[in-house]
Amino acid sequence: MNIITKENIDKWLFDYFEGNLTFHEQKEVEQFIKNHPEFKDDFDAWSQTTVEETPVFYNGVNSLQKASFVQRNKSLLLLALLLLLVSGSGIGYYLTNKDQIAHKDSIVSLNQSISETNDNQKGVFEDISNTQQSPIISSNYQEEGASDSKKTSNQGSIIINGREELKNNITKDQIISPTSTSNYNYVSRWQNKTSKKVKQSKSADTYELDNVKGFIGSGDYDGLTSTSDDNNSQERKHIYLHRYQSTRIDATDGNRSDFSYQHISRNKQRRDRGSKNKSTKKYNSINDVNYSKSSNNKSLAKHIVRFFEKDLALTVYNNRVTMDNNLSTLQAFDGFAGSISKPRFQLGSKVTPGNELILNNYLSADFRIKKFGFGVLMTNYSKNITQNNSLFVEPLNRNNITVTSNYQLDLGKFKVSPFITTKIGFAEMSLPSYLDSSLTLNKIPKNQTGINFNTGFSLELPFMYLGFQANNLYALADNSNRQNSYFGPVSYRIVAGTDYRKFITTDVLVSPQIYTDIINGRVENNFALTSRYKGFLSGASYSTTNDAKLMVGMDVKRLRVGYSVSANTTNFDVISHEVGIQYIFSKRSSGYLVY
Amino acid sequence: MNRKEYNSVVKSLSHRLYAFLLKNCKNEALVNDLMQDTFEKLWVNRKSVEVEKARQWLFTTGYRLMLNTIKRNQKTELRESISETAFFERKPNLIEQKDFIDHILSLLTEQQRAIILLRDYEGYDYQEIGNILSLSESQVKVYLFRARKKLKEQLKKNKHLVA
Repeated sequence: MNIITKENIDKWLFDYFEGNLTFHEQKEVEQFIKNHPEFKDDFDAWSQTTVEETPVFYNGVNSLQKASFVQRNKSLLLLALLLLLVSGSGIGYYLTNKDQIAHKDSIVSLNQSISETNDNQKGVFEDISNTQQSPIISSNYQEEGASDSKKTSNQGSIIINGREELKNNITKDQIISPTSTSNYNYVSRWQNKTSKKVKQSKSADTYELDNVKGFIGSGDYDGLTSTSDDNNSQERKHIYLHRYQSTRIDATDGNRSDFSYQHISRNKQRRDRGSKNKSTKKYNSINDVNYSKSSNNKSLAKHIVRFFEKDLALTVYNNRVTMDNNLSTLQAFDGFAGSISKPRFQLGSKVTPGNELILNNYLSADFRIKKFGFGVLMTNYSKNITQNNSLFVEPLNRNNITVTSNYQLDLGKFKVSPFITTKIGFAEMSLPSYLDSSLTLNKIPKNQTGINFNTGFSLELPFMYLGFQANNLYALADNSNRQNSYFGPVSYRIVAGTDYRKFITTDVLVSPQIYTDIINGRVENNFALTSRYKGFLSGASYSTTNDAKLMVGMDVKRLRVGYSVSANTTNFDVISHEVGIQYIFSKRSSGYLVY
Repeated sequence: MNRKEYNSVVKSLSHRLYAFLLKNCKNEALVNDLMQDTFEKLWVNRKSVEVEKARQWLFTTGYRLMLNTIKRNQKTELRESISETAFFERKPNLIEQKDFIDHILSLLTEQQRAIILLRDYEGYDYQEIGNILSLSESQVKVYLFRARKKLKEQLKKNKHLVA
């Protein structure tokens, strides 16, 4: 571009207006236009080819800006704080009641000094009447041949009210599964003038109460009454010897437990001649208690297997994750059992108030890398017995960590996802170990470990899903003794169901769901109906295990908050409340399941 | 780039990027999506992007995302394309030069349009434009020349219609 010509004038003008020319070159261009006025129009047109900026404002600046963690998660933090407070209150409540239990246990002691009472022998059994919290609440009392005054001597105590009433007094709440009750036969005979052994009786009885599949109880009684008269007064001496023995066989694990104790009490009464009132001078009470539990290591380990199996925590099928039942609220809104197509984090707490205050806390995270899905779940379960009426107590505290992964294989109309899950559970099983000399129930915490391996696959068809999984569970009954271990049999689980989603209006999404869950032959059918209106969620579900739930929830951006109340429809006496929070990290689904 | 710097970049550059993308494709909904995606990418990569280079990074990313979207969805009408005849028939009176330039821009290729906008709106030099559009400096100059020549010819041809 050396010389300006008619052919290359456009290039010169381009550079002229682009500012690419030197001062001298600019003058040359201007001179050329002056000499060739026919290019004046070109010059003017080139001068207008620069696009002028017109101000444009973008309205979404705020949506692009990033808030700090605290600003961003203000609602989450507030809810977490709230949850912490609720959990804290629950723990506080538990601890308070724990102290009360300890206090009540101490009352069990029959070795307390028995106060002297006028009137009748009420005092003898007063302490026993307080043993509603003790393991020997289920005592039965029979009295034979006693004088009228003796027949009424123990009024006010639950243990003398007869068997029928005793049974009625044991409610389901008081029975802790697996449970046991003891049979306590008490026979006494009074005789005047001579001191001798009056009767020895034996009896046996069997109770069938709820989960107690096998129970053998027997009671021995030796009663010795001594009475002597003198001229001025009538004095009666009574010596009671109570022997009690019971054997419990747990049909579930074949575990045998023996319990026995004997109680000797001396009672001396004096009635002055001519006086209608009798006065009790002195009570002595001696207790000799022995508790033995004959259980072999394997059976205890089996027992652990049993309760871990009840809690098959994390199962993946149909590309979905089902976690503990305690995740009901959030699961229900995510379809059948939750989807891990979106990376998410969730935590929650379920509280079941009542005699057995149950706290169930959980925390989980799901994420996906391409076709691999991963999930981690941590749960803490604690059962806090406010009224401990059973010798046999379920584990009071257990923690589970579950890790799962699956792989999504898309075969067109079929989607197959093999998965593998490992769950490790640590439990503190508070079995009663023995009753000490003061008849105080001593619970020796035992630490157990259970490891659950399960694997299987899920299959998604156009209108239904199907899942199969096999479980094997290894239990270590006592962490200090590795020989005390047990490999449970392989169990299986099959799930088949369908869910349907339909917008009945532009805003309202309704989803009926039905599925069948078969665990080792035990069939559960579940029905649920959930709906969504904009960010509001609601739902109800019913299981043939008589478990009904009502749920509400709300979506606030990526945060989902849910509350559910569930009850057993057979008696509605156990109601659970669950609060859960879910945070979805990404709006976009990284799996092919989109809900 | 930390969070504060990122927010400052959003505040200062989002209007410019928005204007650039909107001039390139008149589809507002699409431009809004592109803005979200571009800044989301910036947020994800904030540690590797220096504040000084954020502007160029944004225009490069935004433009590439736009091209990808166009390729992915050829059916999308990215820009109102009205033929020259139709444009002048629709506007029988004198046309504002701004409207006229807008119309002429729509007749350019995507690349020519992007070059003109980057040059005139953002004041980038040829090398910077080349970096953003993955072109050499001389290619940028040639494309810019062709684009402006097209504008010039249209201006010359229809000068009696332009106010």
